[in-house]
Amino acid sequence: MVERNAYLDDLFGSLADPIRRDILRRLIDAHYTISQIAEEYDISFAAVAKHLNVLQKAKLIVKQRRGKEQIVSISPAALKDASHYLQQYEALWNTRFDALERIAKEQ
Amino acid sequence: MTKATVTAPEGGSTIGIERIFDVAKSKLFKAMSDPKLIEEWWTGPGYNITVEEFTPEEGGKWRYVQRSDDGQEFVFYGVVHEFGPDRVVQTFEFSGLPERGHVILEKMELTELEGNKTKLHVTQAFFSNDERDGMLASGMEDGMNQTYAKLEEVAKNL
Repeated sequence: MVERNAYLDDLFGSLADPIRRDILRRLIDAHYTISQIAEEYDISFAAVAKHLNVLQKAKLIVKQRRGKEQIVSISPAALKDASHYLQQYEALWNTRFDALERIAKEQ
Repeated sequence: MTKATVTAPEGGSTIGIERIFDVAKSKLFKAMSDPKLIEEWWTGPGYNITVEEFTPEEGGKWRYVQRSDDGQEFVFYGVVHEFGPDRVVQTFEFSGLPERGHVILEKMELTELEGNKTKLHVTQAFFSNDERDGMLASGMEDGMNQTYAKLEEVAKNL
């Protein structure tokens, strides 16, 4: 049973937008400043900042101030959660397929 | 013990599930083709599965009812496109969603391996990356209903 909470709502909401998913993909192996991220998209700086706020609220990214700039990086917890869902699905099929193998052997 | 591996290519709209079974292909196919046996291996912790309809032929229908211990009832159902010992192709729908139209196309391929083993590879094709990830996030459990509803509600407001 998937737990219903505000955290999950934010997580799903964040991932439903293609630009936010793209930002997350960029952040998987690098850190960027907000300006650097904004340069990559044909939308306004304010719009990019808004997307980043949504991602931050969902705890998918973290912002750290370094001098005048803010450095954006992916939150380790976010990556763990995504792989957790895959593992859950795997667990469902493992249970099912273990039973299938046992029953097939009896035939 | 052999484990099922689930793969979901990033940005894609398919899920692959693969498992090597330590049993001959003919026996595995039988366990996948007999309604009574399907009920046994689809039933899991906290719920029972009843096969209400199962016509394993082109154009046939399948319909499995899942009743949870807490009284919830969901239906998994679809139409069979092909049902052979090497390949099963069918559609897959879930009654717990807030609306129709979220149909998955499922292909199950059975390959005989040396030493009386069989590889089963399942491919599930969704309409979009969003639909696939929503389904993965739900874990296909009871929460899928609410999760999907919420996901859509949130997505509509973006």
